[in-house]
Amino acid sequence: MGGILCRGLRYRPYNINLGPMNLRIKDLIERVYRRHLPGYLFILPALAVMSLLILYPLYRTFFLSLHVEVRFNELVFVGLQNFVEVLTSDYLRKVLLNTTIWTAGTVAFQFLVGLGVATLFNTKLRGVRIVSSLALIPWVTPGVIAAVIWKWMYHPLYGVLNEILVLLHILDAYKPWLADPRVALLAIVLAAIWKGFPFSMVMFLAGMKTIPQDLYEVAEMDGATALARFFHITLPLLAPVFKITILLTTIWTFNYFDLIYAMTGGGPGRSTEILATQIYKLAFDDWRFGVASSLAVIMFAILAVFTFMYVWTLERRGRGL
Amino acid sequence: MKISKRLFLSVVLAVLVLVLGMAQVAMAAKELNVWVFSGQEAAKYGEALDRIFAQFEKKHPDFRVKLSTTPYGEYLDRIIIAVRGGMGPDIIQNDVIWTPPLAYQGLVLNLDKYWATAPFKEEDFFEASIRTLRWDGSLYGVPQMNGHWGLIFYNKDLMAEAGFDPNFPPIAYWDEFVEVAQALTKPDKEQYGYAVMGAMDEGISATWTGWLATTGAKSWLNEDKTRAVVNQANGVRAAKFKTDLALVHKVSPPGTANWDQWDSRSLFETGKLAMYMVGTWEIEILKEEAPDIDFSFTYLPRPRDGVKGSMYGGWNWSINVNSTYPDVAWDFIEMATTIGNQDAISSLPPALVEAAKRRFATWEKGYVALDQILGAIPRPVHPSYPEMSRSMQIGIQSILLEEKSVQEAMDGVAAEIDKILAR
Repeated sequence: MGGILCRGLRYRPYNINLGPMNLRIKDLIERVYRRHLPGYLFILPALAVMSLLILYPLYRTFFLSLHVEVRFNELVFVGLQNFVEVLTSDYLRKVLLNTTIWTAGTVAFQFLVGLGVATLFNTKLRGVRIVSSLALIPWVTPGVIAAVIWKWMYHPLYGVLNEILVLLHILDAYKPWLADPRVALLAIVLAAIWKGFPFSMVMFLAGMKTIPQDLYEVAEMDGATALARFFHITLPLLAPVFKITILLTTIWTFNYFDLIYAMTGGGPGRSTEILATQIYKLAFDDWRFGVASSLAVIMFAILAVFTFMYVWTLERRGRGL
Repeated sequence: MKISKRLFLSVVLAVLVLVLGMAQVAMAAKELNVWVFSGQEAAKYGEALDRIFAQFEKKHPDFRVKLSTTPYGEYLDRIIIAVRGGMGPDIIQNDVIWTPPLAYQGLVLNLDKYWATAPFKEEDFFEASIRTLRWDGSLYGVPQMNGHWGLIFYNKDLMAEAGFDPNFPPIAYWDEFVEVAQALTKPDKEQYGYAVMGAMDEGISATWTGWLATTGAKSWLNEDKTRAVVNQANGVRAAKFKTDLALVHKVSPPGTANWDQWDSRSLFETGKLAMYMVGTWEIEILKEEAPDIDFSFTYLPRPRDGVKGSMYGGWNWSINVNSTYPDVAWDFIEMATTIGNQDAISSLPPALVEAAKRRFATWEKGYVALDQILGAIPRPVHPSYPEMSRSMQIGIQSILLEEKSVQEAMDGVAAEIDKILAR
């Protein structure tokens, strides 16, 4: 580089002194063209589709969040007014709290149930493959169908859940689960755990199959109990799978809409209203696309910050994804 | 062999010509797209619809009518996405509460010029139906059918068992209604007198408005639509009566805060619910789904100083602002809006008064349904009505959950609506 400073005027602008390599820009461009351009051309269609389906909607949402739609296609720039309205609204605190409970509760228990079931299925017993395939049924059930099933299970007069709890003397009488603001959200979290645990189960089971069996044999020979083998071999070796599964299930649950909208519509009294349902109502019930977009931007920011912090923390500990 | 080859080639050529010809014909025919919600396309209306389509296609030989149906829950989303995207059908059958926002947003055409030369006049329709399609002094649709929430459906067998006249049960007034509902409530047998709808959906607003109408009130808003009046005497009375049925008189099934019209119907069909409030669409549904239930309907109970009333609901025809053939679309609407045709294709009572009278004349208690439409009041005809409705839903739920008193809750609803109106 010192050479460049001293002798810069002696070189034409397109010459770069790169030390031993001493390439000219023209050669560089030709190399890129020959070697990399075909690759870029191959991924161009995918990039174009991604731009259309991801980048443009993102841009459009940001754009709308800074405008008020007086009438269709009559947008008035209002700066951060929509954000101020959302941030000072009487519903935001409740909605954020609900979203946190919904996401944390669902992800945590999907993780635990998924891990438990995967451990159970991690055997060579006959028929385990069939059973593990059947365990995928909740996951492939459409969200609205799952909502209808669970709504019936929670029915205050005929629900099977109430029947079982009364028979077991856990309850004295049938409870209107979805009409009680104290428990409605938790009731829906239970439905979400049922719906989503198979994904975690599949991921963990796949991870368990890659753990070398001789590690367990050696540990057993050394006198390690089954529990010790689980905590000191299985869990540490599954850590990478845990990280990606938690990240994905958090993102999906945070954005999930169907169960809550179909089971309670966000009620009773906003006790089950989350960000996704609130945004939907602002946009498609109230026709306030600007305000809905501003709330969507806030939602995106929360998720982006979470994802960044999550990945950064793991990278910092030297154990990336 | 030569002959066979010639024959083969001739057949291939003939088929090609035929296919190309059909393609030409198909391409030459323009489409008039009509969207309706799922309740409309029931097979019994298919014949009448086909007849009107044939009539229309005869008058416009270069057009084909294409009908598309969507379930109610997804229908508004579909309309918004299509029309805002510059597409969508030519004719949109839309719920009366959607017409004002569609009009305000400029998504449907102002139809004043068509109304001026139409074979029908405003006074041919129910007054409430015309109110729902007038925005800013202009008309943005044509009323098609009524779906008013203004009837009490009741189980005749349960009435008779309790010692009441199954044909004319004594529930004309609020106080009588409460007594009868209480007599029919037997929680140990899982039987309830009346289902209060408290789920977070339009059912709350619709049923509250029905009770409001029986007090003699005319609207949620003042005359110039600048202020909400829901927290005044009649609004509070209506809210108190509705919620007291669950909280004080305890005639409603448990879980009121998540109880919707479909829950009410399900329970009624099992014979465990004596009464619930809903509209005329329920008649055919109950006959089909619960043929063993002997049911009838009657007026909404009213206060002793009240009036016969109900909440007006229904469907309008509107023309998409993106339509390439608005004149042709209007022709279709005109054809569908004759007394005979409207009666033939409407799954709900027709919006033309004479067509409705013709329909009700065939019903055992048609005069009840007719009276209720005549006394019906619409929900606020305002583009921000959905937001107002949600405020009402939250307010009524706060009463049902015993979080607020009736006056406090309705004051809160009025304040929210005032904020919306001031925007």
